[in-house]
Amino acid sequence: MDVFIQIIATGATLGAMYALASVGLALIWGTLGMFNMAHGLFMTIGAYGSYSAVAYLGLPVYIGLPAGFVVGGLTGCITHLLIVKFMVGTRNFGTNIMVATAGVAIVLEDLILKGFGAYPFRQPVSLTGGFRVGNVVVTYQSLVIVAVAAALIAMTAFLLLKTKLGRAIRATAMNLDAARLMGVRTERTYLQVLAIAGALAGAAGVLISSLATLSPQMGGDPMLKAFVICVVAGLGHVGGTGLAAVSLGLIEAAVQYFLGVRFGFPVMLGLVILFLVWRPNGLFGKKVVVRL
Amino acid sequence: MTVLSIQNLTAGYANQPVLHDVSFDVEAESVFALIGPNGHGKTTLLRSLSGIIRPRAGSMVFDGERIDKLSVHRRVELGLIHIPQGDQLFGEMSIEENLLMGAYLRNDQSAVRVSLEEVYAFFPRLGERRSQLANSLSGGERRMAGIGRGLMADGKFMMIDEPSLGLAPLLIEQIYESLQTLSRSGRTFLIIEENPVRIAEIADKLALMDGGRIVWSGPPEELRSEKRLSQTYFGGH
Repeated sequence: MDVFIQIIATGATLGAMYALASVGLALIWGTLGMFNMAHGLFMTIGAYGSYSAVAYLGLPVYIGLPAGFVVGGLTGCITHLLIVKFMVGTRNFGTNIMVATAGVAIVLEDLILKGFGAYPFRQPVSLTGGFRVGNVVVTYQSLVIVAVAAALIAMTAFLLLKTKLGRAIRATAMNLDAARLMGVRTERTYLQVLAIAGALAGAAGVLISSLATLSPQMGGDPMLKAFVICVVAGLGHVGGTGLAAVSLGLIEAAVQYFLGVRFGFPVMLGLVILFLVWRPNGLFGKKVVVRL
Repeated sequence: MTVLSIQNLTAGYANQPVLHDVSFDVEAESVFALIGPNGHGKTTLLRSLSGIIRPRAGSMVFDGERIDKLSVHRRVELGLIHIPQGDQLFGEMSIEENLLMGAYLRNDQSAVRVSLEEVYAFFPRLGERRSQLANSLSGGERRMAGIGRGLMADGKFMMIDEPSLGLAPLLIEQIYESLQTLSRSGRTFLIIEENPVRIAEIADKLALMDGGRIVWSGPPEELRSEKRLSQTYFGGH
């Protein structure tokens, strides 16, 4: 029983962080058809943003998370205004933007390295202590991670499904020309999508760094996992991405417990490969249906 | 009164001009039909009018205002509504969400609700299926949803690209009855059709397109005796 609780607690925490990291990636893919190679750096910047707000500006700890959220969102906006805006709709956009955002990631990572150094800072925005369930200690920080991720994802879902802004985003993703004919300013929609995805990534970065430390490279591993999760869910499917993230988090926690921590990611990748052999379009990916 | 005036419009894709020097005027509250076989520039013309593509030369004046340089959403704001070929619905949205997207630029939510009920009253089938995904609709229902979505914009000028495309004869009849009713609603219509027979019954004026040019235009009564018609459709001189 303790084993079970332990796996659920760890898996839910991992899954929550992965979900938050992946949803933005899926949203950007679904709307712009672009794989954002800078997504990991959005997370890193969010984490450093919240660290700076608390450690340098002396703001209270509870401002740390919103600070990461805002800094991530601004980074998304800047990426759009300086780069994506000029490339979207051009030939071979999908490939070119991968290279461009990979470049953004390198520049941002080096800027962080220059500004903060390689020293692994501790994220001050975290709670200490925990409580026991049976013989298992569940930390308060894990609870915060699950709660924050669930709340942000619920907010994103509400935004996408129930608001006019969300309807415009979905319309743009489904049919660009038709959305424009309805009067949607799709350039603005793209900016909004990058802002939302950046903010979610920033918040994810704060949460991830609260369990480990801050480092300029910290975004690489979660982005890789987020990408795997997006592929499993079916590229661009935002709802499926959340589900896939939690499932993979639980699987990873179970593997880490039974086989050892270092096997977590390899086994996860192995399972994903098998899964994709079975369903090449992912969990919710659509086959292309030609209809006359 | 002329509501839309097009002068010497030339447009196309990349290095492939599709429209050559097209000029015509559309009278307010009339039905203007562009006919001609596929691949002769009719859809390109509509896409130029709504701003999806930029014409290379010529001018477009709508309601006294030059619209050539305006962005797509500004033209929608002016009331120039384009119902594209093949409906182009938002497949993963419900019918109601599709219709609400049609009213995207309208801010008066109570007026939008009224329009929504009007569309449901006009196409009862859409009302019955309002929460169904657009992907799951039949061809006829999709066409109704496409036209309904255009009506939701509450624009005064509706451009419809091939309302009968891909429909069975009975459904074409239904759609045309709807269009006939709508044509008396104070709006102006610019309708594209490949098949001239049915559209000639509701149009006030027709224009025949051939090879990206308008080769004939006139009232429907003169269409039947027009030699150009068979030349355009069947070739020969």
